[in-house]
Amino acid sequence: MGEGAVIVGIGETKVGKHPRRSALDLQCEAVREALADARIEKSRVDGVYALGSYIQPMQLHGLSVIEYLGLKPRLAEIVDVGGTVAFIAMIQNAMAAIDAGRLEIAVCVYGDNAATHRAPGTHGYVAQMKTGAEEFEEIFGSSLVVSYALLARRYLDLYGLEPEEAFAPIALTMRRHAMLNDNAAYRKPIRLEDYRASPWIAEPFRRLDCSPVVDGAGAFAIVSRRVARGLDATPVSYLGAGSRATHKIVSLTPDIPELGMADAGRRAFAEAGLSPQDVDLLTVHDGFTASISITVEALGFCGPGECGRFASEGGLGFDGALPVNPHGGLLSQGHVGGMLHVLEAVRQLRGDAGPRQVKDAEVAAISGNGNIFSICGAMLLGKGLL
Amino acid sequence: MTVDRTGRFWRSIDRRAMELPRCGACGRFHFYPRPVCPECWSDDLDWRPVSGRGTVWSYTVVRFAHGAHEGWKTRVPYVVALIELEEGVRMMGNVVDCPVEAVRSGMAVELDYREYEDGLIPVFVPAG
Repeated sequence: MGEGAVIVGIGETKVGKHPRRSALDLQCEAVREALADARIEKSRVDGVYALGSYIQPMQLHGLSVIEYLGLKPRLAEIVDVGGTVAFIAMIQNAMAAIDAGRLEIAVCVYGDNAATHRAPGTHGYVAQMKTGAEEFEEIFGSSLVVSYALLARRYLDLYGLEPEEAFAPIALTMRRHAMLNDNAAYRKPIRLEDYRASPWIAEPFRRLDCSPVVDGAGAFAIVSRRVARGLDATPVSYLGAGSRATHKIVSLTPDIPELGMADAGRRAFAEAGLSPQDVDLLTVHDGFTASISITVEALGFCGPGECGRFASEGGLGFDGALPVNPHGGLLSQGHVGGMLHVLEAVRQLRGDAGPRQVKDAEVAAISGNGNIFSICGAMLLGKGLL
Repeated sequence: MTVDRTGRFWRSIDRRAMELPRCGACGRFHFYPRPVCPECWSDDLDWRPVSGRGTVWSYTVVRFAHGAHEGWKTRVPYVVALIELEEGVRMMGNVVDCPVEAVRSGMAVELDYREYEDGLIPVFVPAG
């Protein structure tokens, strides 16, 4: 391991609907914001890590980003790993390049416009996604929601739980958080009655268990420690990370306890020399309420099947024992692929989260899963130049 | 959605006699069919008829076919399940011939076939 790298700037567009803007345009706004936040001149950027739009896919997307912004970096990589794990991988790749002396200042970006630019008849981010095994799932009326619902039902059956006790408290917590976030798309208060009245989509999921897509983008700047020392920016340091890929389609998923998340978490904690008790807040790629249950338990913050009860006692609140997604998450801020989960962790560690600030936040965990827990990742970040 | 009916798997479905590849080297079945065994990478595959007996591993009652292919929007409610076959593999399928509320994990099911617009498709019905 070399000298290490630190995150020094974050940028986030308004989330919601941007019917007249391309995904590329949203991404480039986020890049400009992140560099402005770090007070880095654009001419100094020598690395770009980007994930292209799933809705408006473009070959060689990295070159589009650098051309649009007039950047001339030494490399422009596409990192398409799945969910928030893509952004964890961007950080790892940038760090490795920085450690190897290949670059010093990189910007990582993703954004999309799934709310306004989907093709008719498509949903979520699936418009352009192919599993490679369509003929063994889609013909049965499957979809992304169906895939997650199958995993969620397995979870409930394993631990003898009802959706109302396991998942409702999670949906309610995310909404409470979004109400404290000016940049969240879903801020109308909800109560348990609203959850119960929410229509079934694919049981055990009601509409309020599913994350709505929004248009938006996020970016962050990551630099060598040498560069960071010369910047007037609050740094956030990498402490450790792990990931594990196990399958692609839900038909081939391992059982809940064998999903890659537990292994990803063990590796992240081992590298950082930390344990779950050291974590002050966690961001979870919450495509569905059940994503939070499965992740929180796999990472060792709760026992198997206990997340719902923990959430009902306020445990996941920004002021609770394990604050999860203080920004409202995909469920209530809106789904921008999980990039904003990285930004929220950085914001919290910098102490810039305003009314939803987690008290004395020094260590944040970011977790993610791509596709249907097909790849799982976890990363630990710490406040300051560590 | 276009199904490649030319593959050996789909030809066996068209005959109402589902076959799956079994590895001659390690003895394991796999699903979905691939040209080499995903466990041991042997290409010595032997297609065998399955018993048709299975168990529901997980299921969902779809009430709003968000993102499913067009034909499914009017079929709600319908059940999508993951079925563990006796041969040791898991596959997706619809559970039919019972009220959607009756489907449970652990339920014994049997393979059957139904004609959909894409052609004949494997389905599962309650056993017995």
